[in-house]
Amino acid sequence: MESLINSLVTQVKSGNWEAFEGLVEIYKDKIYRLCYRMVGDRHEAEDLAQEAFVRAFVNIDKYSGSYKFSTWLYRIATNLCIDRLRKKKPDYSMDAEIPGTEGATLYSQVADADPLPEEEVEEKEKHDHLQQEIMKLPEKYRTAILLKYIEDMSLEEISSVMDLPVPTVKTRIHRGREALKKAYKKVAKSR
Amino acid sequence: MSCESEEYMDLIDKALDGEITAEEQTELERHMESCESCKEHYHALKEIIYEMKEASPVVAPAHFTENVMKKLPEVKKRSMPAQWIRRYPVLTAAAVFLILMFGSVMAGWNTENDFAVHSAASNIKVNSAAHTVTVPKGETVKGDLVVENGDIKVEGKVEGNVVVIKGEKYMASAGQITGDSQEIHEAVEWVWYKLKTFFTGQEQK
Ligand SMILES: [Zn+2]
Repeated sequence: MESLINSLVTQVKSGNWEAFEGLVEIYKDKIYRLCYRMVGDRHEAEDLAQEAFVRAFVNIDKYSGSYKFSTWLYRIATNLCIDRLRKKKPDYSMDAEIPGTEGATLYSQVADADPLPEEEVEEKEKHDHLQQEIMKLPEKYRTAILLKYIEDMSLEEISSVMDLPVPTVKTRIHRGREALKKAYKKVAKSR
Repeated sequence: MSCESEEYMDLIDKALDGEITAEEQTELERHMESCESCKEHYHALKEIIYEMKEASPVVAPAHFTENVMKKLPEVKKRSMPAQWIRRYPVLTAAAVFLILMFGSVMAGWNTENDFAVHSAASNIKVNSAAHTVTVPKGETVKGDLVVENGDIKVEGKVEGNVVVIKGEKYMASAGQITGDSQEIHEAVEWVWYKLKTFFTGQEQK
């Protein structure tokens, strides 16, 4: 498998862009699943996963082969997802006044807006209890947890994907599962 | 009664990471027999991990690959080596070589204006000031004779080819050339001559 992947990468690099199709076929489910678990919305996940592949194609010359192609691809995908999550949840306060809008706060703007898409998302994904809990995790724990348990990666691989030292990855996995446990406990009690 | 012992928390993490030793495992198990909080913690984490691993499979939507392939930017595709280079690498290399060769030879035609004589023979008369070469009467020159940017006068015999580049050839009535004789005045002729000599290795310096 690894040699097939390397051969496809070499072909794409040498100009046979049609060979990229093989790489998409091999990784589409994994990358889509990762994106879905990261952002919790199928439509958005499709958008992100496609973007990840397009970026990989455009930057294929930058892939040096010093680590696995999948590691590189996962890195592109997780970074895209994290970027998207950050854009969705700006880290300024909801009560903060928006520059240039007299007296308007983000809260009042949101309240005025159309029905919140968040409600739709929640409704749609209600059946997926695990996904809901994953969505509650801070993104840095979420990424580590997903790569570890959903994608079944080794600590070393996760360390390459996230560009973090192994001990940090480990800590994030521990904290992530701890947080998941707490969330589960609450649900169990409320039932 | 909650157990806040860091030691057992670490052991639980180790157990879940598959890094626990047999000794530690026994120790943890013994502790959990009496500690409800650690036992619950351990099993809850295990259950979560199990559930994640068993999470319902998610597959990419239909036409995913097709859509990605459609989205690949044309600019990038075009910047990649053209199809025919991959299909006909030898032909491409030959074409590129000829183009480069043609360019450098053309440059030579325009810049090389020095008088030069290429011959293995010693019995020719060379007048560097007048840019003339003479094959004296009664002499026999063996091998090819190439004159660049000068004229040649053949009064004797040349047993080989004579090439005059950017110059004139004068034959005396007794003059004789056994091989080919050629005068080159045009750039195109020059290029052709250079390519020919390059491939056949005719020109001797
Ligand atoms: Zn305990």
